Amino acid sequence: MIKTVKLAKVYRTEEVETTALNEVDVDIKEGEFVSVMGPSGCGKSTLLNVLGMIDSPSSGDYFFNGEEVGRLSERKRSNVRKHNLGFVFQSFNLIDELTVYENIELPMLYTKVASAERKKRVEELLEGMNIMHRRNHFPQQLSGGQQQRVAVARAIVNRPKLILADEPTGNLDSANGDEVMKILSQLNSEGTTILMVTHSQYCAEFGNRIIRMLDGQVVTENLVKQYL
Amino acid sequence: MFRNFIKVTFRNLLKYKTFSAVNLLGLSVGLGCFLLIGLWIKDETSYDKFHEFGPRIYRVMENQTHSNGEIATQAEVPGLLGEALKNEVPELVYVSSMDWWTNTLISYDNQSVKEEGRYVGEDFLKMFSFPLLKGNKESALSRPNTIVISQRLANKLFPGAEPMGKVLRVANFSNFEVTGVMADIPSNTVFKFDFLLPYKEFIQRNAWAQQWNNNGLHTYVMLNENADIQSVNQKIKNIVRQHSDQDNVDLFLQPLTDIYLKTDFKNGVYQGGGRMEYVRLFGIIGLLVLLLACINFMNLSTARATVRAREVGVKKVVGAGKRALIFQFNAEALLFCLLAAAMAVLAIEVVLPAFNQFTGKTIRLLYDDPGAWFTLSGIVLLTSLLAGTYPAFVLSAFRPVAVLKGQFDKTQRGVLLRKLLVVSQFGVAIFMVVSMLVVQQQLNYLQNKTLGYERERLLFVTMNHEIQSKYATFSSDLKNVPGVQAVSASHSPLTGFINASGNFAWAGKNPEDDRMFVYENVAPDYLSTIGAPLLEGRDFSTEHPGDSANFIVNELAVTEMGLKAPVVGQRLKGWGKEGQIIGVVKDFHFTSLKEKLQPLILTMNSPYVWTASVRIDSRNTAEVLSNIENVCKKYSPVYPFEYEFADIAYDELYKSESIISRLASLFAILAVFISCLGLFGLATFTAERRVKEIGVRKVLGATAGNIVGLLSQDYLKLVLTGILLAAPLAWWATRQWLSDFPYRIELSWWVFALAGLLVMGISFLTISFQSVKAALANPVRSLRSE
Repeated sequence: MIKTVKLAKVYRTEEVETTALNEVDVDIKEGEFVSVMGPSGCGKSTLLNVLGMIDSPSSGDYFFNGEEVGRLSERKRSNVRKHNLGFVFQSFNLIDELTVYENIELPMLYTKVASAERKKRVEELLEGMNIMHRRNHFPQQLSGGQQQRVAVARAIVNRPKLILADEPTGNLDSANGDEVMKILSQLNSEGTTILMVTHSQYCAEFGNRIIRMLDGQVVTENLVKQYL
Repeated sequence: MFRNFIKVTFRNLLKYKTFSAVNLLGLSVGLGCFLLIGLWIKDETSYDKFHEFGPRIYRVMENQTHSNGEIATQAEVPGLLGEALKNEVPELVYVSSMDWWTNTLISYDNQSVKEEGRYVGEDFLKMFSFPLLKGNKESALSRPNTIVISQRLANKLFPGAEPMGKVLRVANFSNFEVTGVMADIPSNTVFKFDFLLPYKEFIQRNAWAQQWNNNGLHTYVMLNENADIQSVNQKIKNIVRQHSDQDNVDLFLQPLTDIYLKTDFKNGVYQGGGRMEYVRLFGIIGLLVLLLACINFMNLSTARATVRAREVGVKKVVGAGKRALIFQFNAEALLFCLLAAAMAVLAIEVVLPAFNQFTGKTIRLLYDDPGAWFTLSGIVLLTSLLAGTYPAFVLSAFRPVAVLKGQFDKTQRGVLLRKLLVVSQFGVAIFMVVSMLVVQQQLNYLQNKTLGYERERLLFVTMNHEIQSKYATFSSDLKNVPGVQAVSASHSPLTGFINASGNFAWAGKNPEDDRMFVYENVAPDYLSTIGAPLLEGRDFSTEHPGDSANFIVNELAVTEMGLKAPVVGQRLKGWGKEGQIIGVVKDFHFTSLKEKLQPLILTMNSPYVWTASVRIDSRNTAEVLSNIENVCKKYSPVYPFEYEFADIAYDELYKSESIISRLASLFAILAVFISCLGLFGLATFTAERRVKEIGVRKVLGATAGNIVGLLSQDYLKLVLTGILLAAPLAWWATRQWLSDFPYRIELSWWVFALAGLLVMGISFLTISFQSVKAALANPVRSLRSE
């Protein structure tokens, strides 16, 4: 599903040049649950952003479903993104001015899903995530765990092939963290490919492969114990 | 999706109350001003556009070229011109002359009312769209002694009864049969009348009007459909020359719809000016005020971009394209503008009665006019595009990676533009404040300038023919009224001597010299009554019966004639008499100060005086007036007593300037208000954004004064830059405006300093409100929240 060849990302300011990704080659098959680990500043979030097509690579190739997407225009990338990808962030990134229901519904407005279908899907997810009673609340009125469940629901409402999760449990206590990881595992078991950046070995092991990064490069790639 | 936009907009509106209030208030005030000015302009430019044949109707104008090369333009033409035009110019379908008559008495049974009326030609009702509700427009004024009255006058004189065929007494001297009732004439026409009489009667009664050398009537013509205006102008140009010995008169046609707006002719052609100038001026003011409000919206929206950044980032991540976001933010601006427009319409509805009273108009909001709704929608849409497009592009350009990481575009581009906009805003504001002060100053100057006579306690009493025919006894009765110090009279009120002639002759005059002198018929003791000092000689007096052939001239007339001292005793000939100059009066102003002082010749011709000038002392004015009224009633029991104080009559001359000045002041104040509103919003936002910095500085020892200075100085620098940039422009523009006045103030530096200080002061107070609040806040709280 995802293949990168010598993917690089360099940030330049007037005086400083920082290489965030240094000729990274990764290969992720459909249905995999891949965790990316590494110390702060090693480039794992940059990798996630580039693979999530919200950032463009400086050089190298990025194939998504066999198509080179690294050099697509912003408009085309946006088009690929909204039909294929879902995002989950550490800080949830829900829109404060929208209710739970509206936050989950939002991606479908951009993919022009019919109103009745939108209603059906949002209600299914609210039910599935156990937050139906919170549907008309605003994000600030929810607990962190509930907010992240809304964020996950929003990420999957368009039924994406790939979910990109950036430290999804980073702002949660262990019980809520576990809850979110179980949801992600469940989604993976239903066929959704997941790429997750995490600092936590515990969370990483919910996946089936761990990519370790250091200074913008992939240093090791291991299967998780139970898959060995 | 649009529902989603509306929801987000309203939730944002409620969540960020200060921002919303500032934006809504600014936009509604801006839109309100713009719409109100728009309504005023619509009314001003609608004059006489309702006539079915309007585009084919013209007024005949006369250019008189004098020996000094000056060309005087006037609408007064000979009384016989209409008939001649009809006979000699085949392109003219209808021609109607008209007199200048103003108020006169109309009586029926025992009831008398004073109304405004005109003598008009038979074609008048056929060419102009003043429809007859009763009677036939083809024949209503074709017989002598007929009258057409307005519905209003009919209701007044014959409530519930049939007016047709009734006989009215006009001016208490002649009877007229009602042959038509016309619909009340609308307010947006240069014609003001409630009755019409046949022009033929006027010509028969006024011998002077049958002479080609006398001007004083207006003439209107209607061209046929295929007529070429240039060729008609060519044909009529020399008609007065052909019929008279006047070889300096050219005629031309002025479109009917230009009469109200384009009145200021220079060297024989319209060169801008008149009310049209004010229409343009206020059009610009309206646009500027609206622009200020749009700038507020742009500035506040972009300044608050960080608040919206995450929303943009998330929406982009979940699939929103840039175009969708631009659409969203523009839709938000549109919603804001719609709300603001609703508030503006409401506000206009509230202020319209006062505005109408103030401007003397009958403007109303045109709820029943689809065109008005269409225009309003267009204005709202354009405003929203003007205000919303730039912020929409800025906000939608955020890169999701950056905003989701909390990193924003650190370049100075947006900030610079914002600064530029604040500078322009205050530039406009200072420009308007300076203009307001200068207009005000000039008006005060005009109203308070020494005129060369004593304005206070001088009364003008209108004399009708009944009083006028017995002037000698009337004036002597008035002099016996306790409180009356002196009585005299003139043909026209002292605030508007209008008769002028080039036919005066004096020893040594060049026969080619046809320079014009204003001349005025006055009664004995005129100069002493009005308090105009004589430099030489004496006033007209009943003790000198020969004075009716004599003249008094002003200083300027002496200069114009080139007379050597002693002037008194020199011979002068003109206006059918020959006599000597018995006095030289110090120059005094007998018209508005918008016009240059003219050379003046006074003659004493008592039968032709219509305005009594009465000097009263400072005792109980009401009682004196009542006694004067009794004297008037003794001579003319039917006519109402009409009087005016000289100072009020003089102020009336500047009524339109006074209205313009007050409107300009109002809009200048609103411009400052809108600009400060924006500044308030920006200062609020800055204080919020720099709350951590303020906390740190306070912990490190900064005083509240330091913090206020820190937060205020950036904005005050911008305000100052705006002031410095706009001041030269304001100086230039106000100088241009003043140059049209022959008597004007000198522009002084302190006006600019005052305007600058005023705007700086108000701006500082505006910013301080927020910066003091920020400076006094407990630093622990702001640091903890970080």
